[in-house]
Amino acid sequence: MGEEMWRKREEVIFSEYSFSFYPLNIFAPFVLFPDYFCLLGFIWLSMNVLLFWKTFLLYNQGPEYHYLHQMLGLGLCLSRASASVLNLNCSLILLPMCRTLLAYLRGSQKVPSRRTRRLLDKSRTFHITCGVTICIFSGVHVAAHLVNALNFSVNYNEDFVELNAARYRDEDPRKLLFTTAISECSQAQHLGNIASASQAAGITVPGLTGVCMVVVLFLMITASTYAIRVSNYDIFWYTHNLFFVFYMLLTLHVSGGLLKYQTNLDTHPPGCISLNRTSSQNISLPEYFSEHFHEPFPEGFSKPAEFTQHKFVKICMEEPRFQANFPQTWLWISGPLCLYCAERLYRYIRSNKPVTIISVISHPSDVMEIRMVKENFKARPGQYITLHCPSVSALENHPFTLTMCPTETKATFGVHLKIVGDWTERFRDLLLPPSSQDSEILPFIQSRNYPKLYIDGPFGSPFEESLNYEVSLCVAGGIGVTPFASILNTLLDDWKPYKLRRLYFIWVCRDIQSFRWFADLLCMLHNKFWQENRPDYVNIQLYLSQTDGIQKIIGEKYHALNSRLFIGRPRWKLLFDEIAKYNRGKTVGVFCCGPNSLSKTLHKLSNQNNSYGTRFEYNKESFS
Amino acid sequence: MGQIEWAMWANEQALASGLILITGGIVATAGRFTQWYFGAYSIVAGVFVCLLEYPRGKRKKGSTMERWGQKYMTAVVKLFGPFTRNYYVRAVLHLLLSVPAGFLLATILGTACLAIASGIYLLSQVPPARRGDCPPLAVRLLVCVRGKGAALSVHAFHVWKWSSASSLTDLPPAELSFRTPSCCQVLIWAVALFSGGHPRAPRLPAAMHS
Repeated sequence: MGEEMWRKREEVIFSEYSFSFYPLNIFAPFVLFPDYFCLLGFIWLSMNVLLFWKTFLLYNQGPEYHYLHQMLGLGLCLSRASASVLNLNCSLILLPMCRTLLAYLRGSQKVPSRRTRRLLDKSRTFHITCGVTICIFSGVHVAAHLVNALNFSVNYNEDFVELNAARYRDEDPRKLLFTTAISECSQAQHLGNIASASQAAGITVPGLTGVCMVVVLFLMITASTYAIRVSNYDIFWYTHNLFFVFYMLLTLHVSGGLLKYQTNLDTHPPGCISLNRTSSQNISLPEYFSEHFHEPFPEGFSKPAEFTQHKFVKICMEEPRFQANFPQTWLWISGPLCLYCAERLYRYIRSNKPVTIISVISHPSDVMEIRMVKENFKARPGQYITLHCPSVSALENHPFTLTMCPTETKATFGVHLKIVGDWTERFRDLLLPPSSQDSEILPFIQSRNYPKLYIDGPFGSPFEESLNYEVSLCVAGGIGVTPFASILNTLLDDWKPYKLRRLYFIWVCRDIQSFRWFADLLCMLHNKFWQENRPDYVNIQLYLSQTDGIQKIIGEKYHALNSRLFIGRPRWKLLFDEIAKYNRGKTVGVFCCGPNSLSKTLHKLSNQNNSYGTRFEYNKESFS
Repeated sequence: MGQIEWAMWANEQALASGLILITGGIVATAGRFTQWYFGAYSIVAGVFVCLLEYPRGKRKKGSTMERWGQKYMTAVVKLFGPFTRNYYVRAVLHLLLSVPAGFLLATILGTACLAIASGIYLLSQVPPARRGDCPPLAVRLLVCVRGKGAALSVHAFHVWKWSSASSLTDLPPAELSFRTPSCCQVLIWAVALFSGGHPRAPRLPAAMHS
């Protein structure tokens, strides 16, 4: 089920870059996209470095953590610094997943600049980057805390007992993390000592939740590699939904209050000398000073005040008091988590009403078109929706690009589905009875019982930008023509409101019958522009990449298309040169929806200079 | 869900667990935990698991994305024959390797992750059509013992259903639904012999058709 969706999406939409877990090509975007994405990346990186450095210094040098630092050392600083980086990334990682919000931003007037809108195309890359950062810094955090656990037991502090996490010196770190609470809690509760019971629970809650979080993260990360996403999308999807468990555990994890800071710095400056203690050890004051400061004591024991003024030796007024930090993580993650939950709720409410299927049309080469209506459904050309059919599968949602958007005059919208994989096969069997699957047009049957279909969306995609360039080059491979079909439908309706003045449409297919999916649309569009005296508005080129040598035509009535049909693959360099020559000095938007190799070729050509001063801006789809 | 190739996920998990074991082992030995020798074991076990799991197994259908440079490790892994080809053996091996690391706090996460990977490898061996309604192997073996004819027919059924492909030029496919572990096959043969008959050429008895 997941495989077919990915096969379809592989043909239709290429993945951002082959990101796999082990080789780190995380720097690729900064090289390939030197624009606002670079700037955003730089800002994100600076925030991480700043947070890490600031927190590290705080725990390394801050007076309120002096005694804790003495006990734990470098492990304390590393664990807290990595925790602050984790706070930032756990909050940011949710933002690219608010797809409705991103679609709204893409279409609204509040984001006027095209460059800023291109940032939204990189939402999935940003999500993956934050994910990898979480993974790396979780490793650092866990390793540092393991060392902390050891140090808590080895450097048990008898002077400041409440600072300790261990019950006694050299307690087994495993016991420290897992079993401290069970016996102490029950003991304390038995004695009615709630404060100590909660303290005991506080020791083990971070430990247990930490281990559970690592296991959840492990399951999520191992199922998110590129190889798994491409071959078994289901595993990726179901395990990734464990993120909610992760966030709940995170909320509990930080409530432990294991690491404490000193509250009374004014009355007990760290490193101060406690007179009570030294007198109990039977050391006289001058000897104590000479022992501890290794400097010749100024003559006369009678001027301790002067001495203290020069050497800043403080006397402790009272015992240090410690208090647990307020869990900052709650502040970091609450905003994005609430935003994400609100969006999911909104999407659930919006998709709760089923659509009404108007017609189902069977096309050659295993493609099925569904036309439907829904109240208050608005979509822009290039957007996609997800279909959910409980009769086929209770849990699965599959994305399909809209090939026809609702307009002011017509509320019908449609999708074209390629039948690849078991979900689409079962869906087709429910909608089209097997007997009529071969014929093109379905005979009208009066009491047609279509299954209930729910849609979620629409969600944005970079293809919406093609109407905002003066000149656009749209290249489609096979079923990848679907986003451009909605653009063409919109142009057929009314082309004047958009900035677009010239569209180059290249469609490469393996099978001649595939062209019949939109042959009517293309012919109508061509005729319309000829009649309106704008013959150069749409330039159509159709390529049949595989042929068995027999002369083929699309259909007898499609004269315009047959004369624009070429056999063999397109020669991209020549095409780019031609477009550059006829659109000198302009910015041409390049959009590609097809196999990876095709997109790489086009991206490379878009970045090359030409002698006509034409700029090609490549827009990449990121499946999110 | 029936078409999911679990073994591919188990492979990724085992590789990640190997890395976690190595990291935990380094923390344990460098941090000078007591019983640091468990940390040293963890490093060695982690390296072994990583090398074993680095080659990605061939998928049942569809193309396999090979990891960079995996062909060198594939040659080494194939040398061990059925011990590495068979996913039951891998599952048991991972489970056994993970146990000693559980004694030390620094490496306990590696234990948990490797145990999960072992469990997923076991899950990948359950045929999709029979998940949930498959009687356990022990029950079927018990049926074998009851009588000569029954033993022969059950044995024949299993040999037919679970005949292992002996000609593998590559690593095993990610979904090995009907591969019997060699030890189980030996057991079936032994039981069949014990119940008093020579295993003849396998044929499918109609009564045992499921």
